[in-house]
Amino acid sequence: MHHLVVDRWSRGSSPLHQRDPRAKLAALLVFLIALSTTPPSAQAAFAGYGVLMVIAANRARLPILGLAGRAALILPFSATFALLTWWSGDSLRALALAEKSFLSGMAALLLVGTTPLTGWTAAL
Amino acid sequence: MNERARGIVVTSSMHIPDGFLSTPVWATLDVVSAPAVAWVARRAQRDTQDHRIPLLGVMGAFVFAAQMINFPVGPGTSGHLVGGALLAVVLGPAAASLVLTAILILQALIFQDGGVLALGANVFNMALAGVVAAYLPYRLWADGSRSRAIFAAGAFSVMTSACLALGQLLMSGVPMPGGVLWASLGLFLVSALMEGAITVAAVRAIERLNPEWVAGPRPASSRTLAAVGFAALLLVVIGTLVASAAPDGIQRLTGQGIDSAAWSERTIGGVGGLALIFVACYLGGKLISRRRSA
Repeated sequence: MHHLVVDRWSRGSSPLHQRDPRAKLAALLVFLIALSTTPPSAQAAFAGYGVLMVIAANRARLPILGLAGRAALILPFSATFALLTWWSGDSLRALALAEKSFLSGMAALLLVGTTPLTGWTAAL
Repeated sequence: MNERARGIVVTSSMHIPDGFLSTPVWATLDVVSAPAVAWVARRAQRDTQDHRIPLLGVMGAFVFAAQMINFPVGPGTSGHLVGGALLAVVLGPAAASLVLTAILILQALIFQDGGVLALGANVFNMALAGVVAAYLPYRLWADGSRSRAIFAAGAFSVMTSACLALGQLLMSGVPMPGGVLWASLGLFLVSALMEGAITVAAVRAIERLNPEWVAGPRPASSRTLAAVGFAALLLVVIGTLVASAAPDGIQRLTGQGIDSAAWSERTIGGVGGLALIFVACYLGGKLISRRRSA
């Protein structure tokens, strides 16, 4: 079960695990807002966000493929809307839609994957 | 895997992920939902008797688990229980909103079901509007057939949440051709009827176990007020959908359309939204702590 894996991840001891959960929550919000406000034309920025996620996962010593796989659960949902956007002629926006939802999923997983449940519920 | 299955269920999933809503839409709904949840929490604290608190946890866990079970809605699609009506009938509206909010936060963070920035929107659609939409018909028709009232509560709750979610997506500029919109509404209608039926069955089962567990509608509240509220909510829901299904009008309103707004403007909007959320949470927290110490 996937949340059990996340729970195991959250018990690590990497530098990212040791950060204050509140700081990680604030970082997540800042990241999500930056992501949400990036225009579809700034594809380089999305690549940059992706690199940032890989670096963060590396620092947290979490399996990047495992993270990506779990974040990809959102893709069937966003892909359908992306396809609709594609058909209506805005392929860049379609791509951005899928990228945004995937990267948001990655970021949220990084928070819960480096913070035990009690940590982030207290931070909330 | 269930999450995967739910992902494919496009049209009948109501948890909006991040990246779908435009900044003005998610920021506004975050700002609206944060103080609303704080208010609801205070009300729930006042209204819920101590001996019922374990029931909150049990019902929360039940709805959380029930949301994992998908039932077929149409060819290739399935839906799942939202549980707003069930919680509202059993726990009362304030506690129901609170429990559903907690469920939505858990789902957004652990299950990637619904976005974190879009949490305000999802909380608004399901935990606030959805619960009100369940409680009003339940309150209004409680004197007649109880099953009918509970059925209406479940169905109306889901339709309200669905129409609001669709409206917000349309407002954010997610293109939805007319056919898709109608198909979505049709699937949501089937989901709504199923939610109604499941809610009736679940409440009946709980009542058979222990009639005292079901809170029942408050006799003190006025039926006229419930009727007016019901009508207002209906208008808002239909209005949102109709207004947002005509993007031309909205584009004219914003001058150039949300999409083409300058990057800096959107960033300022986002940061401003965050600041507002912080202020709202801070004030809400202050208020709660002051009440507690008073």
